[in-house]
Amino acid sequence: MSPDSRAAPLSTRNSWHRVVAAWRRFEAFHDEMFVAPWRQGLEREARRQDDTFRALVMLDALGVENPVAYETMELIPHLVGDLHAWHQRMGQDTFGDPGTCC
Amino acid sequence: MSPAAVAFFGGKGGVGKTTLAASYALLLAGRAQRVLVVSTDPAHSLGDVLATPLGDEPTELGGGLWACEISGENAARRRVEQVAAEAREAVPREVMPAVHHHLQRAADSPGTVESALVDRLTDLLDEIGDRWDHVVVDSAPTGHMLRLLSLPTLLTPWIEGLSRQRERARGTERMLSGLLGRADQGEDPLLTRLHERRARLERTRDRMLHDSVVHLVLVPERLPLAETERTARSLTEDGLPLGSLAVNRVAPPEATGLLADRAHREAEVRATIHERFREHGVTEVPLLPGALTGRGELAGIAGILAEAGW
Repeated sequence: MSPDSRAAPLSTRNSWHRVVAAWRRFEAFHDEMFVAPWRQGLEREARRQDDTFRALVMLDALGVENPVAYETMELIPHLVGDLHAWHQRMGQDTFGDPGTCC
Repeated sequence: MSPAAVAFFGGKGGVGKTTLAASYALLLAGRAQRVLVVSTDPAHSLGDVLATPLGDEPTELGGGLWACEISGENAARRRVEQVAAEAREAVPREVMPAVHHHLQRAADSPGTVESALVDRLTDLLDEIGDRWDHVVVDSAPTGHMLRLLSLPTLLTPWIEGLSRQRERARGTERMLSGLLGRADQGEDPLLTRLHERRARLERTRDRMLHDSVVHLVLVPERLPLAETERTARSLTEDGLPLGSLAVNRVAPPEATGLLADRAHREAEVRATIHERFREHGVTEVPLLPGALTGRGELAGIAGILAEAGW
């Protein structure tokens, strides 16, 4: 058996590993360069959409007349839980009259 | 042609809406129909006209007739209690004071009492074909009735907008979940509730536009006529079907003395009414003696309506 006949598959395996490793490195690089900022952007966008919805349902709390206050009453318990995080995100340390939040 | 499933009686305060609504309900009941007559006027007089105490739940009066007096305030209060009870099961105890605070705010919101009234009316309209064949609504004075009739049409797009906003937020969240390998949150309870509210409003709006008729009631005097013309225009603009007009308390032509003078003045207004509302039909109900309460006396007016082709 010549030394080459054993070396050939080994070198193929090695180069395969090299390709995979290079691909992983590229993936990490791509993730860091493109996906992470995009994900952050997406997270911001999700939060913004959520905040808009909350503001629309809780117009009364913002001092704006809400024509569908009766229709959306059932949504309130679902939105009050994280109201505190919301108004802090909106840049207000305290929110509304006593009892509204904190 | 069979009459519309829902008949609204509207007009200025004190023209006899309740008497005519109750009489019409009796007329339909006499034709082997199951009829609910419901008062939405905050100053209820249906119980007085039918000479029986009425409440929020329909009372069976016999002969295929049910009656009730509903209130927006009561309906709103019941809803706050119901939502609060559901919340107690679903949210942490420390959040409950804030939930109560926000619910109270929603209950005090300007449109809430009217929305609650429409909601309660929807419950009753939803039982058409099941508990009754017809619903006759004794409405509050004009402005109130117009609001009531247009509310479902006004609110539906708003709820639709909210649903879309929620769908957008959920879409972005789902995309994010996929990216982070998190499990999908499944059905969104808020979106489910918004869709339910929208379906409910649409159902009532469609019933008001396609299976209802509005009968305007007036007395043959100049001011009520002016208001009736304005109301008829508003209803037509909103696409609500206008039915026969009822001209109540018409002085007898053979009258003498004070009544003769009145009959003379009425003649001109009556001529105008007939001319303007000919296409919808005009029924005159004479000035009748007596208090016009109780089924016996209302039967007389029901007879007049029947003769006029109602």
